[in-house]
Amino acid sequence: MSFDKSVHLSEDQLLMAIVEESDLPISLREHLFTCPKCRADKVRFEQKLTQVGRMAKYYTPPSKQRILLPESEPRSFYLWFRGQQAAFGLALTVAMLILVVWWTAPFKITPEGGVEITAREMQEAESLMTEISILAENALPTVYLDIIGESYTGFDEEFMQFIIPSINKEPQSYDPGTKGVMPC
Amino acid sequence: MPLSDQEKHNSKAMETASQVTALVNQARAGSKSAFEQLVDLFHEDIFRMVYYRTRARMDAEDITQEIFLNAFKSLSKLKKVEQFRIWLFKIGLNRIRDFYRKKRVRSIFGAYSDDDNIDQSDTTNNDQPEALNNLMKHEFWKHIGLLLEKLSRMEREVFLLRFMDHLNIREISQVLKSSESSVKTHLYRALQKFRKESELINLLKEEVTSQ
Ligand SMILES: [Zn+2]
Repeated sequence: MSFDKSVHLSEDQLLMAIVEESDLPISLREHLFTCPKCRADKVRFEQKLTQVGRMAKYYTPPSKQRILLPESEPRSFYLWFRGQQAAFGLALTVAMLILVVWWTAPFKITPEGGVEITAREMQEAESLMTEISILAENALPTVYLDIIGESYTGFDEEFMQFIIPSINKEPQSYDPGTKGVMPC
Repeated sequence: MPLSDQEKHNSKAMETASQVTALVNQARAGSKSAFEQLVDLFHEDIFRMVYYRTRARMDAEDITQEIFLNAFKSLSKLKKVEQFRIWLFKIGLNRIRDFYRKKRVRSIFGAYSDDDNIDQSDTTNNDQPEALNNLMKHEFWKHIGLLLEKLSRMEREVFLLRFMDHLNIREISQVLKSSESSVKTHLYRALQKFRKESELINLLKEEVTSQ
């Protein structure tokens, strides 16, 4: 025997060996491997711990309850989606294809006479926009415009001259470029 | 040489590992019957795990039901299917924590007494061998209770998971989200305290010699 018989593992070292034998220093592991006393002490302590587990199990009453689960299955959207990935991929490809064809060749896929239909629709849209513009300018019918005095729009040059006189030759304001007359 | 409980457990665990993985995958794909088979496989382990921590059969049954229901509803959140058992233990410990939290609140308002729920079943049985068995049972849980009271929360959990629930160091570290070295340190300290419980150890000695 290569170990010193008088130096057995201490109680704490035995506990360390029970927790994880491979964590012991190599010299102690070798001693434990070859010393019958230390080996027996370790086994005895381990048996007590095993007995704790055994008695705990023995002194536990059996469960009388049956586990009840809800009817719905535990299928998350994520898992459902993963299961349908191929179908989703195909649907997406088809949708993309349709979009690409639609945008690149809008007139090619219209039925026969599609161009004329489109031109007529454009004309209708234009006349509608003209109507809207007129309405926006004169929102009220003429009779109501008369009542509120808005119907007359025939302001002539003389009238406008009276309301806003034109800037003539005589300066009426300060002009830094000329030494002039300051208004009184 | 007969196999120890731990060895039997390990070999059983290895045998069922692939079966469990297959069942978990089926359950995740929507099979309720696969999940029911998982319940059959782990019901006893989980019920016992809860009972060790509550020492009340009815509470343990209710909490076990909650654990499996919780697992059933959130199975899609399980990242590693091979860790289903570990995951059940995690859910279990959380539910037990919730149970004690609620119990504390109820006791503050005087609606709950600690003695209300401790398993008193069979204690009134006068049949002699049965009465002796019940006495032993009572003594065993009393001394286990005394030991656990002397352990810190982490030491207690590590001790229970290792020697009563038969999880290995790595599994315990996964359940408790702690490092393996931390688990070992707490286990070592728990064993130091266990060693000093002479009455419990004598009780185990009696049981060893009587069996
Ligand atoms: Zn020795």
